[in-house]
Amino acid sequence: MKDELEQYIIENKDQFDSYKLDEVDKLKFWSNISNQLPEQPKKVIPIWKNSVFKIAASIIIVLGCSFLAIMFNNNSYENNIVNQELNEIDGYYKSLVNNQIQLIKTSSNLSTKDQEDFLLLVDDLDAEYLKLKNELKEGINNQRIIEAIIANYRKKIQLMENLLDRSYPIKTNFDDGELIL
Amino acid sequence: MNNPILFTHKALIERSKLGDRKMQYKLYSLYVDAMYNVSIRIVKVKEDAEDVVQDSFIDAFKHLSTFKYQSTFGSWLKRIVVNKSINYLKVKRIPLVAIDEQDYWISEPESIKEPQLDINKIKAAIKTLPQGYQTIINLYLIEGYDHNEIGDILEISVSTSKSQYHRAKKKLVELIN
Repeated sequence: MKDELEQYIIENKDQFDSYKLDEVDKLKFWSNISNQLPEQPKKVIPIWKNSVFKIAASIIIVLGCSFLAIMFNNNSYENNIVNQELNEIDGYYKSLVNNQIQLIKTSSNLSTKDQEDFLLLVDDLDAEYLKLKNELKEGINNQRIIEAIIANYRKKIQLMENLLDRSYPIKTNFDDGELIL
Repeated sequence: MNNPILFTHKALIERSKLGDRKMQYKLYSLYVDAMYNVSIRIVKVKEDAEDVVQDSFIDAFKHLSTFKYQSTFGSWLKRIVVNKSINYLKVKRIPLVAIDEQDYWISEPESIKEPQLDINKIKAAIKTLPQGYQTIINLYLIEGYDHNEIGDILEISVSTSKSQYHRAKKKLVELIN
């Protein structure tokens, strides 16, 4: 049988939880904890490899097309300048895209669903990109096509940034009352 | 046997078992404050409690596959935190039980008039008890373990746990009065 004092303490035991951790400390502790945990299962990696291959393939196509364009138009000084510009711009965005992909690959907080959504959007952008490259080969209105290619790259980067922003830190909106010890 | 409380956060736990880092983070966010409080009540030192909590979550996630819903996840995790906290005291050579070890039975202090009940006064009084008494009051009243479990946690006999607890409570009543 518990006496009145014991009963009183048990009924009020929530009041003994008087410490609260800083959000900053919680995040810091979590990063220490997650560093000590084994890597996540790798089942999502093949998809990522695919995506990397896709982007790498697109970039090779860009370079190949630029090369062909140079070959076909090497007597046109103006076209040379355009192609040189395109190469520089392409190189710049290629490095940005690769950098973002690296970040997404190392982020351990992405769910499969997020990754799949992301891949669908990237597929659309890749298709658009290839179409633009074909148009560029025809050599009509290059300026506008290059602008469209750059916009395409920017969309990809924006997409990746959004994905990374969303991935961490995760806000929990669980009801504290649910917690049962 | 099919107590639904045992399966609190089952979806989160199952996905955490598969190594889903996002779900593990959600579980961590839900329980970290409670676990920190459990630890600091035992080890008393903020930095020690922080170490214990981080260690406990690492162990819990590494061994999550052994959690089979025989208790709630919270009490499973709490037991890890309590054991690690007690180990901290052992390493620091802080006595787990108060020094006078005679194992005689002390009857319930029925004759002592119950003091006016005020939670802040009680909290302050518990803090002035010897460390060993604080631990046993914590484990029995606040963490809700029975004397068998306390015996396991502190590696003492059930009767020692009982007699320690009765002495601790007697001392607490004196302090409050």
